[in-house]
Amino acid sequence: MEQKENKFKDSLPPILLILAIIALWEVLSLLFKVPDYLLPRPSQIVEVTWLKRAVLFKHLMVTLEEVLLGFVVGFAVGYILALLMFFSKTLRKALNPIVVISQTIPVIALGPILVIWLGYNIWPKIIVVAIIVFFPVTVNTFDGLISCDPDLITLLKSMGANKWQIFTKVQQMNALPFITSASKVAVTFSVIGAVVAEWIGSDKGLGSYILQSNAQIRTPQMFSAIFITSLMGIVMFFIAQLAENYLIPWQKGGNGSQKK
Amino acid sequence: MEGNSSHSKIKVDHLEVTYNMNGSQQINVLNDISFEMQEGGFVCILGPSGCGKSTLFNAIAGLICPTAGNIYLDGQSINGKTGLVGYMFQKDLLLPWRSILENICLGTEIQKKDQAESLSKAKKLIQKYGLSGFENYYPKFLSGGMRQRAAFLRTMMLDNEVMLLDEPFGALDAQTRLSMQEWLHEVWRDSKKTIIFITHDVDEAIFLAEKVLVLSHRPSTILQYVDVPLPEKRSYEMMGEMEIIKLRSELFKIIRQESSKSLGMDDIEIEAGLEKA
Repeated sequence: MEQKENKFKDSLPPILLILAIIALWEVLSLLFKVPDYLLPRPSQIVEVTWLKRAVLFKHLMVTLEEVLLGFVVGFAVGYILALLMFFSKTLRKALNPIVVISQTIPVIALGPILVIWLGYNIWPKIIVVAIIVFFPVTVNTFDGLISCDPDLITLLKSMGANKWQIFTKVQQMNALPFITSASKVAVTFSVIGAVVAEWIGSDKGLGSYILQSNAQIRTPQMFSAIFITSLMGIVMFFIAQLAENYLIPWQKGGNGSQKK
Repeated sequence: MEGNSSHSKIKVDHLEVTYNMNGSQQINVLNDISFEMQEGGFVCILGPSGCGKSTLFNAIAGLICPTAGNIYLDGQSINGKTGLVGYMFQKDLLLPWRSILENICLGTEIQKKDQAESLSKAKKLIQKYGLSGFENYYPKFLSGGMRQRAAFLRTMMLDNEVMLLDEPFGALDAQTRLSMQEWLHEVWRDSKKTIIFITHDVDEAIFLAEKVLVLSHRPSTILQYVDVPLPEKRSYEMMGEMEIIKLRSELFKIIRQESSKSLGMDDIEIEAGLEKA
């Protein structure tokens, strides 16, 4: 009960601050008569969002699909790479530079060639998102697996555990908090990845809608799409946070002492 | 030789452990260690730090293979065989993601014993040895003493008749330590386990053990294997008896002499060697 009250108290300041900024924005824009193609007022953005809701929703679903598929592919690849690097020292040495190089190539430059290779469809977007997502997952999962207390492994060995048991009961569990925090980072980046991928070659999705609106100087419409994109990132982060709370309950403090 | 060892619970026979460092350099940690223990006995091992007490345990637990010599459990050689003796460390090593009950059942789970049976057995142990009410707590919410108790019960769950305890109370504060010693002694009398207990605290060794085994500085050999002239049921008042005071100062003298020989320098090398092994 007390916790709920605290949660409410904690979330109050940021909400008030955001509301204050929006109000200030509205008032100042009215006061100085800022034209809406330069900076639309919040009320105009809300209005446009409502008017264009059907179109925006269609584009949102396209981007969401790219984000989710890209995340799943990137996460799977990232996790498998971490396992390979963890279990084989040779693969670790071989893969390490490639993993780093993959992050130094600007994905935005990679986009056009992906379109040429794979066509004007969802695949270039999935790949761009996956390239962004796999990196934190690989790095963190590997760190989580390798950072396991060697004494815990000795303990399990003394009990007669085999390698698989040591992996599932200790190393994998030790890596779990690392994996969930990587996922929080990755899921936020994946939204940006999808939008950037759409800029390279697409006529669907929030990213391409932002670009089209900008070209037509429909600034309120553009802002509307930007906010929806941002909202999507926030919701994804929130979902990742919920998943983390569910997956690693032992890290919660205070009243979470008792299990189940 | 097999015949001789059949009546003792555990027999360490001319055990030698040598580590290879960087291929060329060799460090002889244990040199010709031989001792026997009867079933239900309690032996404390005393020795200067870095003398290879933990190496001795790792060899008995099968985590490292002896360079020479044998270890017998009930007359059978157990060189390099894990899972046959219980092993408890200075750190409690409870898994933070498991409740106390789940931690206590870790060993039985690994050895694929019947889970329902293990759970009811664990609950009984928890009841009996003062952890009831904490079954479903995560380890981080328990005190150091309670965590060590849970670690001990986890070791007990495996039904190994021999238990190796490597400075289990070393990280506890003095008060908790005393009560844990009394607790352990009671559990031992009650459970009839055969216990080998490493410590560098002379008082702890005398209070707990039936026999004290003193190791020398590396390469470790046995300097003493003495009886503690105390009855099975003991109290701290008995520590003031003349015989005990004499034994105590005698042990202190040996330990101090040995400690002065080890200047700590090569302890670091040993650690590195252990990691490699």
